[in-house]
Amino acid sequence: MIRRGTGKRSMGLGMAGLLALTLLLQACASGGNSGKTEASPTTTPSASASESASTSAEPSASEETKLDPYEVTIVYFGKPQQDDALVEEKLNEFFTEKINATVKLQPIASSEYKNRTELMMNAGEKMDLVFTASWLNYFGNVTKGAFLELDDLLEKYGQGIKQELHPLYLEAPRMNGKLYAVPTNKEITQGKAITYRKDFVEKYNIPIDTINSMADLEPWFEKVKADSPEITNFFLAGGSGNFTSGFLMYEGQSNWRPIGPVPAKTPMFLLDYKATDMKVKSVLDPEIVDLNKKELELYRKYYEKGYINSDSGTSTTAIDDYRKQGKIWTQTTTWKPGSDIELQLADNNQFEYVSHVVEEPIVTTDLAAGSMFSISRTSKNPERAMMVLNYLHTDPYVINLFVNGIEGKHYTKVGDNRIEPIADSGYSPGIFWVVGNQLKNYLKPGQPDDLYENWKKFNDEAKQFPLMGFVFDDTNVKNEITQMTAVVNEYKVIFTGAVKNPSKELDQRNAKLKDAGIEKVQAELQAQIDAWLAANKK
Amino acid sequence: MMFPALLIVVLNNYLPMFGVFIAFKNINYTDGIWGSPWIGFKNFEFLFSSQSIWRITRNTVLYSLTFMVVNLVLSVGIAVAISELRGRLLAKGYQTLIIMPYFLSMVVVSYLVYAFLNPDRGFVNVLLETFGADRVFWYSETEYWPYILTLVNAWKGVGIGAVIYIAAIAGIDPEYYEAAVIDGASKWRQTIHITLPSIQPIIIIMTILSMGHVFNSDFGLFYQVPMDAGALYPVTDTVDTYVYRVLMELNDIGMSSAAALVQSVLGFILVLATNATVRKINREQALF
Amino acid sequence: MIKVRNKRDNSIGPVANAALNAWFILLSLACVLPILLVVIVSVSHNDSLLNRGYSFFPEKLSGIAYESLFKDYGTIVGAYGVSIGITVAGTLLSVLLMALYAYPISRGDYPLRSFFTFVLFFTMLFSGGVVSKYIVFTQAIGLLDSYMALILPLLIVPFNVFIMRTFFQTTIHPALIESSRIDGAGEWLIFFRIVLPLSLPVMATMALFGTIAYWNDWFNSLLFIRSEEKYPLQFLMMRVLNDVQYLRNNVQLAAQNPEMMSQLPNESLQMAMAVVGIGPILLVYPFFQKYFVKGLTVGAIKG
Repeated sequence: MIRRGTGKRSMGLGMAGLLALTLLLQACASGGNSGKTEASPTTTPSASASESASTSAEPSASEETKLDPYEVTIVYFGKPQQDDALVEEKLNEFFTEKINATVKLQPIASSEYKNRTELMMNAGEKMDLVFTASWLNYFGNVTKGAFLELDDLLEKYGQGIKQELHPLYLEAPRMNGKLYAVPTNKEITQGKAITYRKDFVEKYNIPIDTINSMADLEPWFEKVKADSPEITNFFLAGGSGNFTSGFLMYEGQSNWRPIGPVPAKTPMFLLDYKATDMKVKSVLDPEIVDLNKKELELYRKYYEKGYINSDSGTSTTAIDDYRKQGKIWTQTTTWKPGSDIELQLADNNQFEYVSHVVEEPIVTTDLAAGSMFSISRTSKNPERAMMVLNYLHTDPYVINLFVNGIEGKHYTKVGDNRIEPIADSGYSPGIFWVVGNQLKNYLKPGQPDDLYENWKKFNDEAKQFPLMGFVFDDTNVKNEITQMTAVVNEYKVIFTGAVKNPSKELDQRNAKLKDAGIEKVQAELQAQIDAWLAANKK
Repeated sequence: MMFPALLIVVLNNYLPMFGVFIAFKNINYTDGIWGSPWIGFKNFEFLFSSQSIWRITRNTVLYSLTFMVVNLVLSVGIAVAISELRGRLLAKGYQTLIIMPYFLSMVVVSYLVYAFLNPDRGFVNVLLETFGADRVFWYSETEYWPYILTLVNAWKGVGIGAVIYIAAIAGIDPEYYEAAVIDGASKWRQTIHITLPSIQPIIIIMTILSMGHVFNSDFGLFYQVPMDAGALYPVTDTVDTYVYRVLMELNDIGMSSAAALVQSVLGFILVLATNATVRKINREQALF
Repeated sequence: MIKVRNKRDNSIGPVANAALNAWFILLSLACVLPILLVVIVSVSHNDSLLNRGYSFFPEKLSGIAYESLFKDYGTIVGAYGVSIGITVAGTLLSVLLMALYAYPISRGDYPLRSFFTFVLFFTMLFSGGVVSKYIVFTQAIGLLDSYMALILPLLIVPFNVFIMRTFFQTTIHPALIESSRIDGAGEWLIFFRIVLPLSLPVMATMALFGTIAYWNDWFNSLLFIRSEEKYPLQFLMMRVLNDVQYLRNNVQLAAQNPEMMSQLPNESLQMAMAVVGIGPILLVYPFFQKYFVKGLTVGAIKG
């Protein structure tokens, strides 16, 4: 039928033709693309220079300004709501009057947020205010150049923000000394606590203030198990992605706190936060190994005695489901003022809770940078973006409009500073912790009147982690970290008590970690810490 | 005639092809994909210097080949059997029922498997205990899982896989069978000499195409179904699950592209080799 | 082995038939019972699931999973409409275009067949990745937030094209084409009048695959759609599901907002989603089945 010769020749020609066509089309596409992305940063300074010269620097003054209209895109972490358009309209009314700006709300649902924003950043799409956080790879994105430097902008247009925020808040998102994001005002950190069902504490007279570790709980586990065997004393869900190996492993028993990379959510490097020498230890260090083994053997003992649920190795159930049914009487929690009431509300007011804070709240970089807004490098008017952000931190009207919706339609005001949300109203995005200033939100049912005073006090009293502001740059040790992640994942299950001989398994794991290069990472971490300390001598 | 489809292929697949370069670059947002610096093969290092490389490659390849053979035999077998059943209504009924598992997501499947293999209340352990045997901690014992995974994969895939062969068999000219009957051939001989050879081209093509994916694996099957249990990694860790786990926190688009590229290149070589072999035997049935 | 009764009756004997039927009943049960379990779990109360695990006879029933899925009644109806529209339009277009590509490369007398087969095959293994696709679609072609962005990526599936090609090769006898040519028919006429009607089984198969692919696709919506009213059904359900998974696996997020954790829906929701997703496909499947019947090509050569 076909002679092979002709086939091959036309194949070659055809290939060449197709390749040429493809390259041509790509060149057009990329030319347009790179043209766009390069254009934006260069046009912004010239435009804003003329604008800032002609406008007043006071963002809150509602005088007639000569600002050009501009649409500020707000990309934020929240589920799209039915009435987003209505709220956006009202927001536009406000901002047009104040600074001749409009906003475009772009809520993105939680599970897509990271992927979609990174896609938008990779494609160079125009964005202004972008929600980010330490757990959304904020620092990685800063290194890649996603966000603009904010110090100048903050000085000029963000005075309100500076007044409202605790100063530590502005230290955490710094990278090499420069600020790239503005945290949302709320509780600046959380303490770790053990929370108890009040009725159990009263029944057994448990001195919760003296219990600071899982080991201390043993006599009480024994009593509860004897009286009520269907109650799970210590619930662990080893199969869940949320499982962090050993929640109170270090806190309450030692001064070691995690620093540096955390492969598979397991701390590998620790630092004595009360010491002055800032020397990093790894999990291979004998002192740490002893601590780990002690706790692991304890968990195993608990498992064998039936205090830990028998499916701890694979369970993915959220502890809240069991707690609502009354099957859990104690758990470890992260704590801030008002947590106990929140827990009670979450369980439909069935039970009351009390907590004992085991670890005093320390402000770490991760926690203080847990909810922030940055300005994207693709913004065409960063000044306006900063002005909008300033309003979102200072003006209770616009904050509550954004967070709670329109009065009468989405909530009813029952007091000076108190509201009751209307069920199924079409707007309940749950973004009180995402936007601006939570301390200016209207209080909701169940929240005590003095909640915000307590928070302010909490924030003021929180201790600063000595290395707050330090961020580890993993560029040189990416390969080692991938190896370590693989090892840690494989051995995660020993922290659930479901495995025999956990100490032996731990030794195996540590040997593999050594092969994976953990010492190289430790050296890198120490070097970076020393450099940071030298540069930031406080 | 081919133009519209060709245009779509160019737009959809060839234009974005420049993304392949991401594997060789260190992407940052300021420079974008075009401007970011080249770093050669650095993104590939994490994969090749990994302690697990032998294990994950072995697992991926062995499972792929096993699945290919098992599913082929079962799908063809089912297709032939269904085409021979006497009650056509029943046959249609079976066909509809056996494709159902295909539509379940692997997450749901993993829950179902868990309902069977849960150490406490799983159906299997309950059954074992009723008969006086000890219960098994399925999620910590590696020896059973190659069989479990092959079974689950087959259960999910042979129903829909048979559809192609059923359609192929439906297209066989009945005259061949009539001629065979006249010659006195039994059902069995008819199957061997008419049915199977008629669908042989399809089988060959499917096999060649599957070769391209030998170094890939069904992520859902190997990650969700074993509930990501660390003790099972020696037999459930594949290239895809490994890359996913270790890169989850690193967020490095270059490294994940590099891993995907390696899988593609290896698969590509395999396809070329298989195709060349088929060409030697029977030129008509090769892919190209 | 099996004696044929008479010349006309070429079916298998009753014993073999019974044996096969028994096997198929077992197989069908193995396939259906788990689905049944999925349905039952989807209406089981969460407490019952927690305490007794999966069971065909739950303690308590609850419709809350379906309630949460269909709470936004208006959105769901709209999403159904979008899904159906995209699926029908996409499948029809897809099958036609793929056939138009598969046919020429199946013809032995077409010089460029190897080349175009390779061109298509190459895309099966090598791809530029999500980011570059996104850039091309949104910036070069300008399809952000459009229905076309949902249809285009799934139009040409190389695997399906090759299956079609093989079908054309084996079922369309070259002599048929030759004789039509001699009769003066042009290529297009041959294609539409002769080739397509003879290929009903494979076209039906590809239409089935296309329907499944379009109906279940949510990834393209994730990438390209921004307006709530344009989201298809599967995506909305996936989003509910992914949000739950994400919250369960994200420690820091949970720390930021513990209240969210306590409102998570659960396994019955996932099962309900599966039921809603499978249902329509199973309704549609019998429609395709009637094309998988033997004897459609009887008399093709003679006629």
